[in-house]
Amino acid sequence: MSRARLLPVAAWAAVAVAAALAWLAAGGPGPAGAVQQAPAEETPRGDRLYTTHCARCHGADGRGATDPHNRAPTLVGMEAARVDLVLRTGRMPPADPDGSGRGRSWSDRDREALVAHMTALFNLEGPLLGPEPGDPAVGREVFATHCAACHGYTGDGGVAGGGAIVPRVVGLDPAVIAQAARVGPFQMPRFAEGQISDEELGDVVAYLDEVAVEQATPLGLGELNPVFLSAFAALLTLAMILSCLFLAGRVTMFPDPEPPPDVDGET
Amino acid sequence: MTPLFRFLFDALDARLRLRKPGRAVVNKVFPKHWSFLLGEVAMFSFAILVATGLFLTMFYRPSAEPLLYTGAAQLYEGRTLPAAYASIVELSHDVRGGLLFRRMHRGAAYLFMFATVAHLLRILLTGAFRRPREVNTHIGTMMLILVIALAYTGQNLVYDLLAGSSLRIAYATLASVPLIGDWLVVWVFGGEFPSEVVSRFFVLHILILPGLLTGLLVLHLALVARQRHTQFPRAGVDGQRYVVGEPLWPSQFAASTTLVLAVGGLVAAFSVLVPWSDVDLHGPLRLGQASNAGHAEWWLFWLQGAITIFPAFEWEVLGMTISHMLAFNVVLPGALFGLLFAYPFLERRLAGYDPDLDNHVCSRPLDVPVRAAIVLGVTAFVGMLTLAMTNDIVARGLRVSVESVMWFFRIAVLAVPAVVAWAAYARSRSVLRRRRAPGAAAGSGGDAPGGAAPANPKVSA
Amino acid sequence: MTEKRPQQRDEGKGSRRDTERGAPDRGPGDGAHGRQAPDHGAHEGLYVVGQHIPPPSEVNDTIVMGAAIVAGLSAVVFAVGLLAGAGTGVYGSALAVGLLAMAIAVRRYFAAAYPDIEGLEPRELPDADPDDDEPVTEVPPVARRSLLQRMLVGAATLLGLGLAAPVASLGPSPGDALRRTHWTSGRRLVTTDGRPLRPDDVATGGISTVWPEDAIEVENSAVILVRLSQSPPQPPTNLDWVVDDSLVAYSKVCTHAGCPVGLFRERDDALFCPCHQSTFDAARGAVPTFGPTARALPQLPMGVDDDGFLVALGDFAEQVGPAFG
Repeated sequence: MSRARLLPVAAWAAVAVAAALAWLAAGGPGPAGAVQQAPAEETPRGDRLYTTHCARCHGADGRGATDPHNRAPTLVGMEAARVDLVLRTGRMPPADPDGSGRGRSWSDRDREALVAHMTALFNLEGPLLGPEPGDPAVGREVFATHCAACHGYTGDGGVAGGGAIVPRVVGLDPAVIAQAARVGPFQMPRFAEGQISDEELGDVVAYLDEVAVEQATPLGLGELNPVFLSAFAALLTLAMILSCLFLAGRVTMFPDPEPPPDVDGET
Repeated sequence: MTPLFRFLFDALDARLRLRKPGRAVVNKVFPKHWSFLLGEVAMFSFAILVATGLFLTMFYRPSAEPLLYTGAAQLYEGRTLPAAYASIVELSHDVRGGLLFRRMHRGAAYLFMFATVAHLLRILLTGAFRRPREVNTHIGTMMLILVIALAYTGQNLVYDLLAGSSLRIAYATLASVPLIGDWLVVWVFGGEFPSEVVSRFFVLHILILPGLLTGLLVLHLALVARQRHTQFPRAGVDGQRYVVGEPLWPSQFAASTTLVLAVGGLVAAFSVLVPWSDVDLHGPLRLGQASNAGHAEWWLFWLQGAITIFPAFEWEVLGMTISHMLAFNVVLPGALFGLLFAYPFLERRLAGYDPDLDNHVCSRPLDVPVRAAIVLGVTAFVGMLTLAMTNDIVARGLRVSVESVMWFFRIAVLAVPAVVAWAAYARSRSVLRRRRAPGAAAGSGGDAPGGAAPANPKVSA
Repeated sequence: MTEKRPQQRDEGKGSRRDTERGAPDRGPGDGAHGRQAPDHGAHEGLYVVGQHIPPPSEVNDTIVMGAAIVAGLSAVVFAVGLLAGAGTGVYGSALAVGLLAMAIAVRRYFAAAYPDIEGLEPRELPDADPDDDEPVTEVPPVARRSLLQRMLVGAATLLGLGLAAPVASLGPSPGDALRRTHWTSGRRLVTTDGRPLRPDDVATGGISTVWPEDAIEVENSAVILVRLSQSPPQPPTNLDWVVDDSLVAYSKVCTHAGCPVGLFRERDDALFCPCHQSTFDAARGAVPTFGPTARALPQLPMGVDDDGFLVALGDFAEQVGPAFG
């Protein structure tokens, strides 16, 4: 190649390198801070994804339907965080026709494209959340005040009556935790910024991360529900009873009267 | 005997004349059966509780006053906690051996509870409560109540989130007693909830209750020594007149020593593997906060089940309120323990025993139909109530609503014990009938018609 | 794992046994199982009905030695590990291994060092005579003074009962303090951090735990504030006490056993208590719809003050929490 043709190539390469460095300096991929305005961009990819997976129930115009066979809500003006949440947790598209079950697990790229596309098309509102983990000690207090009543002090979840199951929240994606608190999906109540600030959401994420790596015993058991602890207590008692069986030298529980193993029958 | 021990023994004997009483004690004979060791397991668990408890008491602070925690626990560093909970966190993270002894204390407590109940079942099912041992049986029942009280006060000393719910339920239980409820509540709690309850539970847990329990335990063992142990029927032995077994030295001593070491070893082993009393995630008691899936301890499940599954009601009668809590947290356990106290006399009447005849020979569980029915039926009832408290786990596991699980247990709690009692009664009667039939093995058990107390036939005079 | 008794057994035939001396002497008589009863007077010695002398066993000795060594080493590991700050698993396991090894050592030692003995003891209490009707005391009273006796007993009873009076010092006189809360007209609703709330601070379908100002974390004054999202509140909710046609406040103390009612199912407008699964309909005056509770959660009279903060308009109309007897 001649020098003349190399020069533009080199120049473009330098620009590319400089752009990459600038991009890295800005924090790299993904949300750099706690809150990021949802990007809005119509793309062919997003369009393809929406048409394939969402339009059947929510309609090509995103207005949903109200007939008894299709209870898909309208997407126009919905919170972007809610859309991002149900995609992250895989609840949309649903596995079952009645809207329950998790039908698909989305890759980050697909999800971001779809959310951006829908934001542009349907004017989804509000920011996307992706908090940085904060102070787990503060997070524990926030969790105990607002979340433990439903999700349990270990974040393992439980029941909430009426067939509602409260899910386990330990080790979840920070964006899922934060967005669920703000959006209040399904039966979950919503927590406005005045109640739990964005910074406190980060603390809760840090706390739940801490729970995920909670010091476990050699058997891998962390803090257990009293029901499961009682199973181990029963196991200990069983071990003790086996020891008693061993010590007292008999296998039968209630011996039938038998002559002692003597030589003659005089006893 | 080593020379040193011989020297000490001779010195004491010269002053106290120990040989004759010593021989009487050391040559005492103990019948040998695995189920006779359950009481000893309970006793040794108590010993471990006292030993680990002595250690824990040195660090525990019986107060709800706020305290700044500065220690190794990441979740609480720099936070203000009630002093009791702060001391528990310190024990778990900052005191060497603290976590192990906390877990051993909790593990030994669970074993104590299980062993006491197993021991009680053995006494009931083999008829060891019959005359002349009714007094000792009552002492044992009182000890069971003390064990439950000890476990309850101990569990709430941790002053964590679960203790908050637990104490509030106790408050409501005391308050539900007609006429004197207000007074009971302020006498126990010292005012509005929760007031002084931690320091009062502390005194109960480390002094009053263990003192009472030790006293009753000494009495219990003294009566067993005086009345001698019951034993299972053995051919060639008139169990009513003689005890056959192994002597205290060396056999029973060896067995007991092995048992106490085994209890300690097993409790320690389980304490390494199972996080029994870890409360890091519970958080301190905060009024107005509760947790989902916050069960009581397993030995309270039967009471918690009773106040959960039965349908609601509240009646106003003569200015008093008869509430759900009163019925199922006060009257029901009162009735069950009343039945336990009355049972020796109840069976005597129902099974038609001779009131002047002593019984020193154990029977088998199915030997007395009324006993099999009542004991196994009531055990099934308490067992079903215990299981009922797992309703949220069942609901979650089977993906059904917790309401439907509750309805299942509402029916099962009454149906299953009835079926068990009837089945036990029927089986017991058929076993007795077969035993009494001509051609059955002679000289076995000697059950008189009507299930009267079997007096062992003497093979020889 | 039974201890097999081998066929050959040494019969200690009806001999009284002095435990400090060695082998039993073969006295006269036969296998004395009940046939030849021991002397009631001399019950100190051991009446042996059967014994088995364990054969010497090198395997057993090895086990004892090995177990003893393991126990000793484990004890050292436990002590050193604990003092050196090793993890709980390290010294805990050492303790467990040490105790269990010691148990094995003790058992194996006694099994080999001493014979396996079966003894017999008469049940008759040595100091008891069932036909004894004589009074226990040796000194009868000179004269029967029943009136004086009864007066003494009466005084002693009063004394005993009087000594129970200090029990009343255990707590203050309850009065109606247990049945009233700290909510008064004009008291602001504040969060646990002490911040007063405006109606907009609670999102639709959101909940918040609030307390009276200056009475934060007083147990019976806990209130749960709910902004209903599914339907506006209806009777028996007191609509005068509802703000924004959706914001309603109920006592958080469950009327069953007093646990805080902290769960809210947004789509069902249902408050759910985690302790015993009582369910309350928040849109209809928190009336119980399932569970062991019989009374609705009392509703807090609520309004908005001049500065726009949520305030109480008075105390609850019914008693808060579980019933007193």
